[in-house]
Amino acid sequence: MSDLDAPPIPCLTDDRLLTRERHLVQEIATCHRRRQWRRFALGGAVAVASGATAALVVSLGAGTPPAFAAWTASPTPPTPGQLTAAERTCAARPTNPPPGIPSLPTKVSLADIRGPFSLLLFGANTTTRGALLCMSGPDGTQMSVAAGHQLAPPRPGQITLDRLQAESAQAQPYTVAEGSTGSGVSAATLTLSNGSRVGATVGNGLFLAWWPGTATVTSASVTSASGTSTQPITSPTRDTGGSDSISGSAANPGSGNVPHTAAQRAELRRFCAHLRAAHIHRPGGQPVGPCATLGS
Amino acid sequence: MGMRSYSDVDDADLVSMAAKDPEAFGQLFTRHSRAVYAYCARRTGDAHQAEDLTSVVFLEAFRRRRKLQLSNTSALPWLLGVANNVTRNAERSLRRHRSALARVPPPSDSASSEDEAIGRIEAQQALARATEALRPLSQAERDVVLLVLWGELSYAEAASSLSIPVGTVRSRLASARQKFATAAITPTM
Repeated sequence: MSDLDAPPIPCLTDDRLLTRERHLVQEIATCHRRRQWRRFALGGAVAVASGATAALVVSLGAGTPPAFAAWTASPTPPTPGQLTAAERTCAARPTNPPPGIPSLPTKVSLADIRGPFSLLLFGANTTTRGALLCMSGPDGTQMSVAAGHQLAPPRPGQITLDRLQAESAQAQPYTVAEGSTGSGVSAATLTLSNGSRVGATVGNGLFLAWWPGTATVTSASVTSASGTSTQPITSPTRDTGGSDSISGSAANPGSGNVPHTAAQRAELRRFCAHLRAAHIHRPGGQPVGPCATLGS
Repeated sequence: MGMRSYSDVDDADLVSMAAKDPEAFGQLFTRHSRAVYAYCARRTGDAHQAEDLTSVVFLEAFRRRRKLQLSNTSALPWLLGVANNVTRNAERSLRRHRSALARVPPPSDSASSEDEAIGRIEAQQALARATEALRPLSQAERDVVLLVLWGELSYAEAASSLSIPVGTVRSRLASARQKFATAAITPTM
């Protein structure tokens, strides 16, 4: 008996184990949904878009930290009524688009649910109409708008990261990733610059994910009919300017892009007037993002 | 915040973090799933079923996580203890988690080489022979053979897995050896 060696085991591939791991995490996240929602207070927004963006704080809750205690690394199924409530909340978006964007999309392309947080994507960054992202938490909603860009679609079985946007809630940063999926892609897990992994919501040729912190995306495990493969991801760089850009920071007004021409400033004034009329502002009544650069 | 690198987190902390951070339990899976899979495969003699049972072991482990009392830094003995219970009633365990298992993405049908296919068949046959070789042993003796001889746990870890004294592990192993010697079984595994 002493020479009874362990019998060999049929090989289980790394990809198969990863699939099982993601399934486990998803099941745990689903079965153990956070019951106690934390208040979700939004403190500001910093656009780090590959295209033009405008960050708007629509409503703000008093909030108690930590803002993301109920966040999950994998998407979770929505609770009954969660999506409807999020869509209703996000419907409070401004009716007029910001400068440089012809019109705001009204149809939800993808919804990413993580516990009590609902991130809705209207339109897509890759369509000419642009995209509107709406993050809805228990006590707050934050929106950002991106101009459309005609980008080459990803190859079959691959993904491209079209937009990486940094936001903050109650002085705690978080990052949103929006991208496109090639044909056949059924799942994607993003590996971040801090080594963490985040499961993305995939559908309609798009993917969506977000995570607390400022980490960027370095690679992705993409699952398609031909299996799971890892592909490097180049995160879009921080937007540092552009004639059609009005991105800015609500927390640090003026740190983003400021319109340069008189026409752009006039356009921005009209847009900000609309925000004031809609009572869209930062805590304490401060103007949102690039509107703060206009002065009184 | 739930986001972190887990490389410096020990197993006990991963388990305690899991309720708020499912990814932590994913990391536990990464660390120990191959050992759990090997145990399930050798226990059942069925590699395909072992894959599903590995998922069940971790789902059950998550459910029982509050009962975890780690005697050392590794959760493997505890996980193999869960695996021992799960595989004893494999069919029932699989039925219990049927709906969850139905959500596992199917394996890709990527083509593999002929050598790989032959290797899998040979490993499956060796697995079946090993399961057959354990037949003369009692259930309790199989437990310690699987954990100590094939699972490479120490006597103390196996005792922790099975919630029995270390001396009992020794005596069961000695009994198993004796049965093999008496039966003149010379497994070729």
